[in-house]
Amino acid sequence: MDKKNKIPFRWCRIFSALIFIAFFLPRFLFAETIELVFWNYWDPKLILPAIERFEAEHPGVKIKNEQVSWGSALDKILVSMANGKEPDICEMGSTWMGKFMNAGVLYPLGSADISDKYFMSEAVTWDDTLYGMPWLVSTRVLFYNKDLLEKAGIYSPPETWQELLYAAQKTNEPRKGIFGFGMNAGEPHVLYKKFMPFVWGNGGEILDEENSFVFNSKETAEALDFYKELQKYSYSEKQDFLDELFKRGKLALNISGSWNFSRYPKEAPNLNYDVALIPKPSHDKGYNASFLGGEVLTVFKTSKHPELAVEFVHHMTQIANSMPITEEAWLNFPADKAILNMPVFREEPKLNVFLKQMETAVHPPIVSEWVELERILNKTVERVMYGEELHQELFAAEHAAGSVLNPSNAQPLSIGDKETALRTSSEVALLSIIVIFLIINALLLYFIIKNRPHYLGIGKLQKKNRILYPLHTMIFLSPWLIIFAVFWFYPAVFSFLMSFYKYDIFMPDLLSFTGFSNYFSLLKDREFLQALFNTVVFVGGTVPATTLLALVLAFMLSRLKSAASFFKSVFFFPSVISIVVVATIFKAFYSPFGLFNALLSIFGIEARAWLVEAKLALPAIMLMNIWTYTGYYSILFLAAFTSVPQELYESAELDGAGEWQKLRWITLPSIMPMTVLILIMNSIRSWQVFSEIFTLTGGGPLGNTNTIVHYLYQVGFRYHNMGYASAIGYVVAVTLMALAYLQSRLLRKKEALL
Amino acid sequence: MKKHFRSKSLYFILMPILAFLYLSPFLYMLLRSFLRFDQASLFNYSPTLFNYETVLTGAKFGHYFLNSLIVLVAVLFANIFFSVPVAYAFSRYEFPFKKLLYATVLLSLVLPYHIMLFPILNIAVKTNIYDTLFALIIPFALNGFNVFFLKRYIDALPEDLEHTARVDGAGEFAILRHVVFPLTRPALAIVAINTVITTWNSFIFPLILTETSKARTLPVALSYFSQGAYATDWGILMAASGVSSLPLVLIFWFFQKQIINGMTAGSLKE
Repeated sequence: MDKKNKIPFRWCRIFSALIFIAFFLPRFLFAETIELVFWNYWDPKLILPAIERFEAEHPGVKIKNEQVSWGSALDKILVSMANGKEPDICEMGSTWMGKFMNAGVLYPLGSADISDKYFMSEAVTWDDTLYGMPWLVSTRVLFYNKDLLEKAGIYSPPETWQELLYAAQKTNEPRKGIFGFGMNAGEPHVLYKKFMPFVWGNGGEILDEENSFVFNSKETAEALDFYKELQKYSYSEKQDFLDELFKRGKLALNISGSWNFSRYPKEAPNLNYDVALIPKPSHDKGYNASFLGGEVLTVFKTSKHPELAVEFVHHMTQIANSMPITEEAWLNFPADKAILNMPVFREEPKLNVFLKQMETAVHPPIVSEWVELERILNKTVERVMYGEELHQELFAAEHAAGSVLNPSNAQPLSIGDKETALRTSSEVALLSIIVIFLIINALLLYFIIKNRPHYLGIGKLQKKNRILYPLHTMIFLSPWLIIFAVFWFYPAVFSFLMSFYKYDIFMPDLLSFTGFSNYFSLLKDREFLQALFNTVVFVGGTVPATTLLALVLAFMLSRLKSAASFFKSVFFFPSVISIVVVATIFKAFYSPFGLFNALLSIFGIEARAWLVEAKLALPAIMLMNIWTYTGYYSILFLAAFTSVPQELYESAELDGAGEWQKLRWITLPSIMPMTVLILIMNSIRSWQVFSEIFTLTGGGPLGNTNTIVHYLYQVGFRYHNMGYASAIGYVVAVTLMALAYLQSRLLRKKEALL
Repeated sequence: MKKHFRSKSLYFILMPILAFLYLSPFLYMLLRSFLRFDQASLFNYSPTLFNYETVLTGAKFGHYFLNSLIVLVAVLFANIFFSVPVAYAFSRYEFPFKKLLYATVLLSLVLPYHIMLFPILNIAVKTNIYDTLFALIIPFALNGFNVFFLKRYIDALPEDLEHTARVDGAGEFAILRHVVFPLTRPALAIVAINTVITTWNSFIFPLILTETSKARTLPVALSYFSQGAYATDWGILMAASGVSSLPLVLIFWFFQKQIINGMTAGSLKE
């Protein structure tokens, strides 16, 4: 022990003491406080004042405010439930309530009837018991551009379907860039919100009193027929861009929400527009239906202080505490019906229309399978809009809904039973890893002992040119072995086992062994086959293009004598940027008013909705992918170029070889190993393409951009069928391994690559 | 000679145009981030700092920024520190089950990590690293690709230096530290770049493995900006994108010579 070795120990002691203090001091100081965790989707600055008021009224209570992303909230709540880490108070989308109330995980708030006082009371009531409080509510109305309608000779807003059709037809002038109606596309999750009002207004329903699927009806067919007719005079895009188009005065009619009021007056003060109720089928038939939805506040049963949490829920749903959220962006209104008498809403005619619309707006049915039903509805509407046959699709929807609705009413989750089958099996798996790890180490140890005489000699052994250092091998390899065992091997084995089970996070008790049925159903799953096809197209399109372009670019860069490093930096740059940022930029880049369309218009190509049109979305994402990675691979190629011995070129020049011959016979063969490496890297990456799809299209339109891994994620986390997702994962894994093997065989030169 | 000159001038005209087109989405982001609303044309461009103010003051952007940076640095150093010994052992040593153990490296390259999401989540919860930065560091402390890449690189290195060092009485750790590390430096540059890119781009794991803002990283925070509301505020979104890209842009700007030279020098020998 010399002095050098002592210093780290002293530091360790100080360091651990600091950790100890940092860890225990706060607990000691705040031992008396009760902490409640509150998940919501809003900017903390809108929530915190209300929380502070509550904390002031309840000394010793601390509300921990956590902002969760709206887009991934449902997935995250499911995950937190599966792991027993639910928040105390949670904001939920009103359409999810059926699922949670049926699962029995929410704390009951009493049995009072609140339908007189609150909108969406049906969304929080289950078996006459209240499981949440409506917080914020929103609906959709018809926005119309007065100037455009008057120009077409229409002086009052359309009140019936025929009038709507007529107005859209009259105002639609695509050549001038003006469109009649704004139709949603490319965003599967909002399609039904805009379409269902026509079904509801026509007397149609999704589910009847007994919760059986009655969507396949005459009323729906009529609405779909009408909607298709309307499509002829429509511009199809995402809601964002439709609102933007309307703001620019290029769209005559648009079904949209109150959020526009926070933008239109500021951003387009000259826009002459008004709002009206959504038209009904005809003057003597149906009613002005719309979509009603919003946010509710719930308390989880697992909360340690449910009474206090309920008190907090009541506190937050007071108008005074929800108005700041409304006033920030006018996304939605307080769900308290007292707003009907508030001057803010009454005296503003446009908001008044919203209040009126809310009286006849319909909330989607509250059933535990709503998430799946919503998907079926959206798929049906989307397919019909993209030209599929109507009755066939409705029939398919009925069939799909039947299989969703029937089996799962079976057993709700048993509460308090945290020792689920999954947990037990995961512990077994974790244990087995440790055992495997120990066995490997034991074998290495046995090896050491067996070779000890040599080992003890001078610390090395050379036998037939082999270097044997068992102890060092063990030390050097253990980081990898640990990482591999815990984060690769165990998960792989675990999902492999899962792939033979039917497993639903919501119903862990229903874990059942199903043998190969997950794999067999893959063969019949049209969505999976489509995703597989898309992935093949994606890889087949991007990998050769990227490699070739990178090669060309690298060649051009290698010719540059000056400023080469500058251009290298330029082309390398996109690969440094986070893929989320790149996708976000491209979302704007591909927008109808985006730079891409502007660039194309220079060459006389007309503007397209790149991420929405069925045939364009995947190529658009592929283009983005090629753009992002070409620079990166070209720098790798450039590295390979410089490693080619200059003597080869010099002797070739002496023999009179030209540029092309030098490239063909010297450069290309020399960079073969790098080409192989790039092809493998690129293929492996492309096969797993996910983030781009997730951020840009979510697999739409018509599932045309759905890739295998994205489908896997959807199945596993959105529809929480982990067994099926694992089966998909294994199909991907086997394909990838076969691919890597094939590539290495095809491109193998003298030496074995892998 | 004349032909040579012509082709050269062609590159000089072509390259700037290509470069401009290549960067145009970023230029758009930059221009748009200084605008409050969409503007019809560039001619009445009236820049404002409003979006940047909103981003920098509105949410806990600095916090997310720091989280991302901590994860990046930790994962980077862990990878460099661990992958050389592993690759060295696979390349030079003989031991039982070598092929099998090396197969695990290759296996990790081809297994789609998405099937691991749920099991890894389970482990993270079990080991109590869920919703901490450790959950974003420990599983990624060593990457199979880095091992694979370095092993190939070390395979191609001559063994003479190591043998000489051994004859001189150097221990294996000393050889690793003083012979192998310096020799693999060019390859480590690629390892570092690969690690920086994948870690900074990492989106799904931070999304799944963290739940509160405590351990939230920038890409996840950014996705919150973009999907929080119905109406996308492109100005703020672009400003947030710009701010979250800034650190890597700066790192890239200051170290571009090292980064690119490292890659250029790190040639793969036959």
